[in-house]
Amino acid sequence: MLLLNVTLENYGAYKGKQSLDLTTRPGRPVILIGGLNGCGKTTLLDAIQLALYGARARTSGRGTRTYDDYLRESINRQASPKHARVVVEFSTTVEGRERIYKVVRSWEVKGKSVREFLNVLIDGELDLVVSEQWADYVEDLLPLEASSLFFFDGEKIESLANPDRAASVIASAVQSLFGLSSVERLRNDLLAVQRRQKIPREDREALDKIHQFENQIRECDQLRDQINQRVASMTSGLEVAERRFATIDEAFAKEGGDLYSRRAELESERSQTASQLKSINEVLASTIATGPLPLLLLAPQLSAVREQVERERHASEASQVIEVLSERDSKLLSLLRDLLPPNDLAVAEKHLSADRQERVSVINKTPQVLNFPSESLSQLMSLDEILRQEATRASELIEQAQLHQERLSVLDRQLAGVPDHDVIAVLLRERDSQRDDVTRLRMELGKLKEELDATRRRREQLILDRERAYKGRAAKLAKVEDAERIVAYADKVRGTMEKFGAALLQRHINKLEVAVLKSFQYLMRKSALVRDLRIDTEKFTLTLVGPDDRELDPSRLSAGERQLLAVSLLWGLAKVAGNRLPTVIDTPLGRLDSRHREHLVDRYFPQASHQVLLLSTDEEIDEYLLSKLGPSIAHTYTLIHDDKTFTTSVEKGYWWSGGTVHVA
Amino acid sequence: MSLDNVRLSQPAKDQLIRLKRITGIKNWNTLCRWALALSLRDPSPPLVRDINTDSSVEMTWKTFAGSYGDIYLALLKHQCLADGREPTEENLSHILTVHVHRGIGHLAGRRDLKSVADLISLAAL
Repeated sequence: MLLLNVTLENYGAYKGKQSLDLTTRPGRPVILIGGLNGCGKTTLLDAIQLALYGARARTSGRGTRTYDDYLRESINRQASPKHARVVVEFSTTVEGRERIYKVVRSWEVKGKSVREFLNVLIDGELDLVVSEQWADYVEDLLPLEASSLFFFDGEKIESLANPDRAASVIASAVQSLFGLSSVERLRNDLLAVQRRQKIPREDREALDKIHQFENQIRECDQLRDQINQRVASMTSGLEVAERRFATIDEAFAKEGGDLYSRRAELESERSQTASQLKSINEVLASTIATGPLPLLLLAPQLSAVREQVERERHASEASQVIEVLSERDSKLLSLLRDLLPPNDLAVAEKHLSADRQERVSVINKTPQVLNFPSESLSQLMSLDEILRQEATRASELIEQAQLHQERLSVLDRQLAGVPDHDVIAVLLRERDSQRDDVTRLRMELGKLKEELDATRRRREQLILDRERAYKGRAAKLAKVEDAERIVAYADKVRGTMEKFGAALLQRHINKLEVAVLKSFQYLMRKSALVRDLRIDTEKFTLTLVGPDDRELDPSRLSAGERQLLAVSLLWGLAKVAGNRLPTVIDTPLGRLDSRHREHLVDRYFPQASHQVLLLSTDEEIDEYLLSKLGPSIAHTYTLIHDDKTFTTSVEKGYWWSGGTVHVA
Repeated sequence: MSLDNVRLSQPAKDQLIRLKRITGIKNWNTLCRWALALSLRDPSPPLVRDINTDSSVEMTWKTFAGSYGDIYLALLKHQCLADGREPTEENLSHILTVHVHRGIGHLAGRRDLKSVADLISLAAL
């Protein structure tokens, strides 16, 4: 970082616009700014800090005032309107490229309010985004903590020799300049990333759920086993009960128990069968028996009678026609007598006479003994058929009657076999109670089996649930694994970072020890006073070791020596930090003797940094020292205070360098 | 005696009373017809010739023979002729009486006759 230009406008004692060119050249890093006490050297230092850090700047004149009050009162009293401005222009390397920043901080008072404006120009262009976030942005360029090491007041620098004060300065310098804060921030960022991975809990929930399901399944299994045992024992119990029942039932049957229990049934069947038999018998007695059936006994007689009746009827018919025939024959013959020859006639006559004779003989042979009335003939003729029908009907009824009779006798036998109540009662009771046992056992067994079914179904459901949970978990697990990997790697990296940080710190501290010691010995007159110097890596306390290898209390050093120690510390820090920052020293030689002043002028200022702003009185850098410093100087300025107007202006040149008008 | 009145002996009546009870048949004439048929079936002549028809049981031929009267009469005549006698009314009445009584005796003597079915079975089976 290189300061290019500082401009003050109505800031403090500076009235109007005062500008200082601060550019340096190789080999000429020093910018010497002279000014008597009260001329505004410190104000100039404040202006740079104010421009860069605003409200956070540790300006010397602020005290306990609020920022607004400070701003209000730092406007030059003669300024009108009440408007002030500080501008700092510097170049620095950002992202590998040299950039020029111009920070313009201005403020004005209107009535009671103070309005502040900040504009940042990068390479000549106003960057509103950077302007807006400048307070953060500047921390990356030049941390506020570090700034106090490089913008310092020589009069106060001595306090750095105090171990406690030195410790805080070293600590902040180490943190901000040596990149350790970056390491720390990286570790914190990783921690934040880690904390965002809040998965393990979810997976644990899923696992818990799965465990829960598994426990339930185990419970189910236990329950199932218990039920199975009970089923087995109850099944064998049922078998025993069934066997006992069968035995008792058998005994019961043997004793006629069946018949006993069926008695009512048997009796009712018997009475029913008896009444059916009775009605069949009634039909037989009143209808069948009264009919023609007895005639069936007389089949041969009947057929003889029928033949006789036929014959008698035949004869009777013949006797009826015989007279008619003889009358007709005589008529026929008398008719034929004229027509036929006598021989033929005789033949016909003979024939007819024979026929009549035949008929007569039939009549004579068949006496009318039966004289069967003709009106009953049809009855006789159809008798066979009627008898056949009656016989069929009768045999059907008889068969039924027989069946009923047989059934009846069976029932009677059974009823006769029905045992006495007293005999059977005990068996009956026993059998009933045994049957109750069997029924109860069967029911209980049925219930158990239902329970078993329910348990099995529940188990299947649980297994399904568990599968689902497993699948759900697997899906989550993928995410979890990612997260876990991130956490694990973050942990690793954080560990590495810590080690790296420690190593870096150790390395920087070592370098710092060397650099500070070297600087101190370089600047000290009594170079053997401090033999060694140690910095604690945890507390950052500075320990000096004297020539006798004992710790050297800094309070034993003189004020001048302490100032030199402080300078050495700052120089060492600047060297280790890589000379990246300008060094601004106010009142650089305050309490030093001439020998030490020469040391600083000869050895320190030209090499303190690539840009060294010295704010000096004519007593500090006098004509002699100026001549020694001369070859390293890039610019000289003198701050001139007008006691009448109470305003300061900047002039080029130093007291003894040419062209400068002194007002002293 | 005439065919118009059929009369039974006292022993026959007693037997018939028993048969009525066994068979459940209510009318004398029905049982008498069965007795006649049963006896007529036996070609041998009845041994008993003289029967004292002294009971109170008496019925007309019409009552006795029922709707098949002509056939029964023809059968009686046939039996009469077969016996080698003139089928006079007297002869017919005699045959009827002896055969009915023999039949009744026959029925009454059958130990296996226990119901009307047994009776009918004699003819139908």
